[in-house]
Amino acid sequence: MQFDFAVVGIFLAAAFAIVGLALLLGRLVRPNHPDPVKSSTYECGELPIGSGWFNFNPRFYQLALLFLVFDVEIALTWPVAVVARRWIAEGKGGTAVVEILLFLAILVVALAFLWGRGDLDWVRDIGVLPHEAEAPDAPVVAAPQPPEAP
Amino acid sequence: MLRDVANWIERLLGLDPATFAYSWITSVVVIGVMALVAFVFIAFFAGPVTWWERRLAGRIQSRIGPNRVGPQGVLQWLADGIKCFLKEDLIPAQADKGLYMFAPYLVFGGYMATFAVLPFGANLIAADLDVGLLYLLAITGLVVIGSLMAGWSSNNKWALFGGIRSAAQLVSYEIPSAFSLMSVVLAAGTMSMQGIIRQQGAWPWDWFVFRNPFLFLAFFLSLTSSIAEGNRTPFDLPEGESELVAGYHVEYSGMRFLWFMFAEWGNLWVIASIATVCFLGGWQIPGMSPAEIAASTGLAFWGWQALTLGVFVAKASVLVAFVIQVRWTLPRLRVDQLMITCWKYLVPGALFCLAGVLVLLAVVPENGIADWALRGVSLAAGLAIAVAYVWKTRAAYMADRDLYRRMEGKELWYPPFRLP
Amino acid sequence: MVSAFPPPVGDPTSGRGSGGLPGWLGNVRKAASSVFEGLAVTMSWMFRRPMTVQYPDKIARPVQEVLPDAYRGILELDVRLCTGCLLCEKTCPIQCIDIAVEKNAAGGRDITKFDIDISKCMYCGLCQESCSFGALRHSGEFEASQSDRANLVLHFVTQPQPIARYKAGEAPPRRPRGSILKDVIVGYGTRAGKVKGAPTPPPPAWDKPAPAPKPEPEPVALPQAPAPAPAPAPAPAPAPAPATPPKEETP
Ligand code: SF4
Ligand code: SF4
Repeated sequence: MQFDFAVVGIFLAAAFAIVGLALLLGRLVRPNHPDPVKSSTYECGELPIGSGWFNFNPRFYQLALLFLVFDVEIALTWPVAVVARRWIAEGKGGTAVVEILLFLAILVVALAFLWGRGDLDWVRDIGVLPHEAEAPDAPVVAAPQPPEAP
Repeated sequence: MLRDVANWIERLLGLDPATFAYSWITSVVVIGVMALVAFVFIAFFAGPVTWWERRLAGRIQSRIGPNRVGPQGVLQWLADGIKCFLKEDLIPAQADKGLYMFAPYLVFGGYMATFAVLPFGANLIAADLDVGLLYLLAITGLVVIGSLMAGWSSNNKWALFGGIRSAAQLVSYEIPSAFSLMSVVLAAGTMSMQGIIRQQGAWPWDWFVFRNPFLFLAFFLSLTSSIAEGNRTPFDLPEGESELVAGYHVEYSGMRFLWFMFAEWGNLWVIASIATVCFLGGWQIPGMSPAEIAASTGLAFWGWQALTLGVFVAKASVLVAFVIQVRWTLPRLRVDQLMITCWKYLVPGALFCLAGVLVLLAVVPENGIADWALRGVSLAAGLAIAVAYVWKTRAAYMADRDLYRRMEGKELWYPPFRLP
Repeated sequence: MVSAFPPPVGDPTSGRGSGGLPGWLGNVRKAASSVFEGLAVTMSWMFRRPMTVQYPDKIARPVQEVLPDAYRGILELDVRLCTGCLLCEKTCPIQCIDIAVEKNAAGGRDITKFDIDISKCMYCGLCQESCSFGALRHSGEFEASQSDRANLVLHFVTQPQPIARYKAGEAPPRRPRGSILKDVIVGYGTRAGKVKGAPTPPPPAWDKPAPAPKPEPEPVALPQAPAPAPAPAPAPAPAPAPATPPKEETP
């Protein structure tokens, strides 16, 4: 076992070494004439406007949360899946099936809940943004109303 | 396998492997050589496969494809590689230099580490981890981090969008991929790659695809999500050139860029071999059980290894060609369609397959009549798809044949092996 | 209340509002069948003859011969016809023609320089139209890649040429289209591959005493009465053929 994991570690190390070596060797032969225009950020030939580090869409965070939930479930189900066959062979099939199905049911309920809430939709109503409010005294952020009836 | 080689070398040097205190040195050397072999394989796969892909794309688009460098253009990849090697390495002044320079290491490292557990033949595997499949899923996380890192550190809007899209996509599609592979784990009762192969047989009805209808479905789900995880068209939004220029590697040039491409094309092999291992019976050859192969000695042993290697490479190559064809057939998805496909179609589908496989496993005794009936149904479904595919292909060809002859005065027939 | 996005009700891709499970299954069926049909179509192209012909190795005839007469390729100057009027130089919108005319000892005038920078030229054809003598015109030639940028400036005059003086209708015969550039373009014909199966194109007709068959007849540029015999050409260029070859035309 130790040996097998050493293989993985050495493969990673070898990959890093190969990438580094190739870049190092390349440094000897490739030209290097930096100039301000060349090293400016590429924006289709225009002068770059501002920095590329800006706030991006929160939908990505939601997606990451969704993924986290599912991935934890996967990590927990996977070992059970490995032994399920042995259990069935030993006559404990009912237990294995019920256990895994219970686990899956929890997942399915979570998925159905998110689906119904509209959290799986990429394009959705996010309410009124501050700069879109019609009057200055209009409510700044709309109530977090789900776009459709559940 | 590698350990045996290390022991053999120690014995060759007149040392006793059981008592030799520095046996880790021989082990490290042997593994290092193996890693180099794997790298050479990657280079000689990822390179020519770019040429192969462009030739196939050429035929699909009624043109020829690269044909100038070397006979029929087979050395095109070498020319491309040398060109990239000699190109200037640009680092944007605004970029986060450390992360920018480190990202290709992660992407390529995450990719090459998968080769540690990919089998090539009966005993040809670097490390047959008992968590092989889980390890495969986990190590690809490095690629996600690498591409996100590349996208963020470039300080470029295109790159940032490409990076976060890439992360969102890879992360999302890992769920259906894991669930559909979990059905295989359930059916095989092990996560080791060689173990999964040994649970199958050489004949199609012993493969996991045709074991039962749920696994049959899981095969397609798994293939779809691996294509998405490999950032291939139709799921190549992170690098959609029409909207994001090049995505997360837009600022990269020369050799640093090449490593991203390396990982991307090499990924084809990973996609194909995961599907081959989990569903298509791996390297199994008819009439020779894995135990018999392992028990053979000397030249026969290596002969069997070569044969199994051939079988595995043939199966994987067919899948590689299929994935390439998918790329040149389907248009790119929109980002909302991408997410919907994953969360509303693939995830429920994979959960459904998992539950189905589980129930069948508990209810249907192996090698009983019901088991064979299920195999028969899935095999029939597979055959029906294949026949329909040939039929449709022929129909599409026949639709234009006479028109072409009348217009051009030539025959339309031009099989793929005829080189233009 | 203004919403940033309209709620995607009944969106066929989201599966919402399209009939619950039947809609969902319908979408799956649609996706599967369209992918399947698409794959069958692309697979059928693997068995069809590609439209593209491998250039330049496997073309039946050199492309230059197949191009239409009005094709605007690289400019060529027949210096025997040029009167040094500089109209073309003045017409060119991007000044890529550079002409120098000097008085010579004999009291006449010499063209000492006639350069065209084909790296700048945009093949608009204005100079060709402004040349009333038919001296400057587009050839069918297009292969002019060079490893040195300086070679892209074509020098049509390398030593002073006395300017032609001729009456209308007595002009020296114009060299056939595309026959001049081979002396002007550096390394002409060395880069293009050989045409397999096709015979090497015969040398231009005006070089040979006997008229050689040419695959493409030269169009007559001006509807003037053809000169009965070629006028004595002042140019030191190869002596005109004894009989007017069919290829030659009179401006
Ligand atoms: S074709 Fe146009 S651009 Fe070229 S030299 Fe003549 S006038 Fe100038
Ligand atoms: S090429 Fe024609 S337009 Fe130009 S200088 Fe000569 S005669 Fe005049």
